Amino acid sequence: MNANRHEIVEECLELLRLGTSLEECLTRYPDDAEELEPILRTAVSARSDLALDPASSDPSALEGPGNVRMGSASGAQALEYAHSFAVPQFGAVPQFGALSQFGALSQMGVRGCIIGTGLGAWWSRNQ
Amino acid sequence: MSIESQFEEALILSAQRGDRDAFAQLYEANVERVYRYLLVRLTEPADAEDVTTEVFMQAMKSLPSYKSTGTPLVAWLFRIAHNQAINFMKKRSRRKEAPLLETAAAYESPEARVLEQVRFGEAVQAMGALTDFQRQVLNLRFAADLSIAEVAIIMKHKEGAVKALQFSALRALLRVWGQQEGVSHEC
Repeated sequence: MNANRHEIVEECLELLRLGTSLEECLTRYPDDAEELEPILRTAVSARSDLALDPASSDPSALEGPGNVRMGSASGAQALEYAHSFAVPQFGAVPQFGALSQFGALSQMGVRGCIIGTGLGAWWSRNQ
Repeated sequence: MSIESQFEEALILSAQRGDRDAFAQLYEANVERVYRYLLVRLTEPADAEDVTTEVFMQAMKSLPSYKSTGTPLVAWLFRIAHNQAINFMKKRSRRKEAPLLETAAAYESPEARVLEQVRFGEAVQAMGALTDFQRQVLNLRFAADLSIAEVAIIMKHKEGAVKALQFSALRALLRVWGQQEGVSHEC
């Protein structure tokens, strides 16, 4: 493989990301194909395996922003943090102070998690 | 400056002024990759979730003092995530934790789901044989799905160096997987 092999690998990874097949990538670099193939297969496997979520046995994990599941511990932390909005956080404008706990949470963008994950149940239980 | 960068900068300014919707947009744009990065580092989903929450709480607290100097917000967030992960691992090392694979096997879920959990666990385990830098580059590139340019900023390397590191990491991973296959065939 030539001296710019790390550049070639990156070019192929980008092509793969855009939907080009591995075989097509290899045909672009016939001189390096033999050495490239196992490296690209490793990259494809790594990308695919690392994209798996061991928590996703819980269907609710697939809901909410970014599919991030927020458990009850996170919910407690988030609510605790919502209390802290009584103290001005953004310069001199205490915009969060007037909000209720739920309002503050939903406005800070965690609403999807609350609805779609364990945080909603945690909130209901603690009402 | 690209349109995306200008848009992000406008969002940051709005969030710094207390605009909650702006912070929500920044959160939604970044939460998944921060979570995925932490999941690979910490291996336990519940831990990754907790630390992701801490990262964004820290980000929200620190945002007023954030100064954009052309560095994307994602680099700043990943530095917070990196530090939070280290702090968390220090605390965790004092406690006894069940290894990921045991946890995965304990799930009462369909076979396919368990297989996915095992595959994830094996990938993380294989990455354990790499150097810290190699592990970090694969985590940022493949788990967090960041570009070479973004990884270069986070790791404070030149893009060419990140590509070279990525190449060496993939070759090392290939060797590890090759050895593992050899062992399993011997068994």
